[in-house]
Amino acid sequence: MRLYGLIILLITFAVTGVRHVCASTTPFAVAETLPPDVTSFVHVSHPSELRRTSSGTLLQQFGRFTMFGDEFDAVWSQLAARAGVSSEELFDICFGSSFTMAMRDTAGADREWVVIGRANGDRLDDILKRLRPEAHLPRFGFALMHLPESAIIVARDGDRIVAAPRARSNLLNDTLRRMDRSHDEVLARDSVMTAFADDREEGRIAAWIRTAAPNPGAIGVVASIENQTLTAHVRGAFAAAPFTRTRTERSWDASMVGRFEHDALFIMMEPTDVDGGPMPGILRSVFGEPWPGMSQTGPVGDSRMFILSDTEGRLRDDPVDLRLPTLTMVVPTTGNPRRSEHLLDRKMLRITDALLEQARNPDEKARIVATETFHPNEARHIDLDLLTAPLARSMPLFSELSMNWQSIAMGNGQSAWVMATHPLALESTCDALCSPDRWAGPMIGAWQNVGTFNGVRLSRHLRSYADRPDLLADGEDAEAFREVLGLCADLTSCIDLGRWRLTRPEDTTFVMDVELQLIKAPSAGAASDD
Amino acid sequence: MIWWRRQHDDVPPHAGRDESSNPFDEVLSDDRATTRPARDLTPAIMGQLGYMRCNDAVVRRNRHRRVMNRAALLAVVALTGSLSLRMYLSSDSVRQPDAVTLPGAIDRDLEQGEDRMQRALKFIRTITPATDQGPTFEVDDEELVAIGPMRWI
Repeated sequence: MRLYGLIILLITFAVTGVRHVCASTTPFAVAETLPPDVTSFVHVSHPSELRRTSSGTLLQQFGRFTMFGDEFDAVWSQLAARAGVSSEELFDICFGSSFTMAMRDTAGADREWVVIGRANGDRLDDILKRLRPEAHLPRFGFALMHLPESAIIVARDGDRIVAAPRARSNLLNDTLRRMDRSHDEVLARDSVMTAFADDREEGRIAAWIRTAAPNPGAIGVVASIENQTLTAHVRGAFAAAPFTRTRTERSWDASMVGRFEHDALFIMMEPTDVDGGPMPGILRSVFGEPWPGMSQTGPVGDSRMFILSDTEGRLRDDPVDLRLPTLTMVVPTTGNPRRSEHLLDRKMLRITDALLEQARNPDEKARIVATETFHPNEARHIDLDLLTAPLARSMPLFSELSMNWQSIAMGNGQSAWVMATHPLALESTCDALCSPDRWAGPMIGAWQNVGTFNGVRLSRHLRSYADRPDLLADGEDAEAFREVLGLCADLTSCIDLGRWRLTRPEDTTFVMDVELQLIKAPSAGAASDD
Repeated sequence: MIWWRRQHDDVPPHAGRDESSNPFDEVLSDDRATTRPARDLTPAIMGQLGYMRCNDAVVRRNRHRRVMNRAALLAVVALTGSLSLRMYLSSDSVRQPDAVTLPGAIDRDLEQGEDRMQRALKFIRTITPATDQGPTFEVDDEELVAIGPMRWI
């Protein structure tokens, strides 16, 4: 009996220990200590290791843009100097094992925040000796200290520290009250977080934000980093549908995206049963005619793809110091290839006709040729000089605009319409579609939206426009233009290749998987990213 | 020492001196022989004890003087105390918050980050061609800014 009792006891301890370990590695485990009215939080495991990697560079840039800017840098450096260590060392000592920041925005009150970390206990003692905090009465088992110069309260229990502003410490109290004590009202009960728990998502970074009216809800992210690759799983749930477009009802093959991901700046693919959203209206307003492939009529297949690429403006006869964008659209088609080719020719000629109607000299618009002069499986090209010449001087990005299209047979009984704004874009797209080497295995799913982007190339493209804000805006808008494009250029410069896949399980929810292959950060003999 | 003299207590000097009398009687009787009528201090003493009526103007003046003295003393104490406290607080022995504290810096950086995001969303909205398709819920124009990019998906 004693032996059986001992075995049961050992099993109980083992299970408890395993559960504790599992709970401590759950990315949203920290939400068990936060009150339910927290509006956002971010958690990072082992941030000191992350800081030295390329993932850390990307996250630092994002962090600098959103929350920790120059003022924080200055104050943190001052605190570190007072503690007798560098800024990086201070961060590693205080938050080396884990860092969590939670915020609570209450209407009519100042924003509250609290930072929770696991510190290096011995070194933390040294630092606190130098900072000479004022001791306060303990609270909920935590020793309380006040740093008057920094105006923060620090609660400590061993290697756990919790810090908050001295003047706004309600969130600190609400958090300490829930540490090491089970509590019914905690943030972890949120539906988005429980969905992550149900999926057993594990990751090094977890973030969660509550969205406010007019569409209250929440978005959660769990991300993991391995070998230069950051993988993120994003979930969102709202009171009403967060997107204006309809939800797809079919499963379809999105593998075509993979054929272009190393060539193009940005690719997006979507099913054709999703209504076009604002895009058909915009295209109709620009071109005067419905654009082929934007609706499920005729031989249009189950998907459509948009490819954004660019050409070097400095290689033109009239060189400009810009990267000129090109847009290509691919629509897989069904049925008789010849019939679909004729149909495409008619549609594109109608659009070209409508465009050239806008030319100042209507007599010059007679560029429309009879469809009988087109040869099968041949690329079609129509210049739009009449329209673009007046604009090209002030807006060079329109200087390379032309109508190019072709209906191609890709092999395996598949065909597609390809339409592009530049002949080289059309040619490279058709070559890629017809090349068997680029065929990857099927990628079938109920995807709402799938895409990839080449971060480095996209960064160069955006930077060339960020340096010329006068091209598309003036005054205040020019400054906003520069800021937005500059930020996007900085963020994407760390990314070699990015991929996303978006699904909508319900009208009010979405799930997105993101994969970012990062550029290896230049290392001065420091820790590697592996 | 005031000697009260009762009229019926007049006793001739050196009267009835015999060996059974008090030895101090001789001294007392000699003093009695040389006493003079005492000065009447009744008004002064009884006045100080509060048993004499006083002029109202004098009373008011005295009260006023007392109040003013106390007020002046209080003002001096308060001034001295506040000056001392101010000197103490500005001395090195008291720890003051820095000009820019950690919470202040984080608040300002967060505010700037939010402003940047709002400017970015507003800019994206301004360069987006207008369409007739709106969100699935009722919103005000300003609030549309916050959900701008999602309208494209």
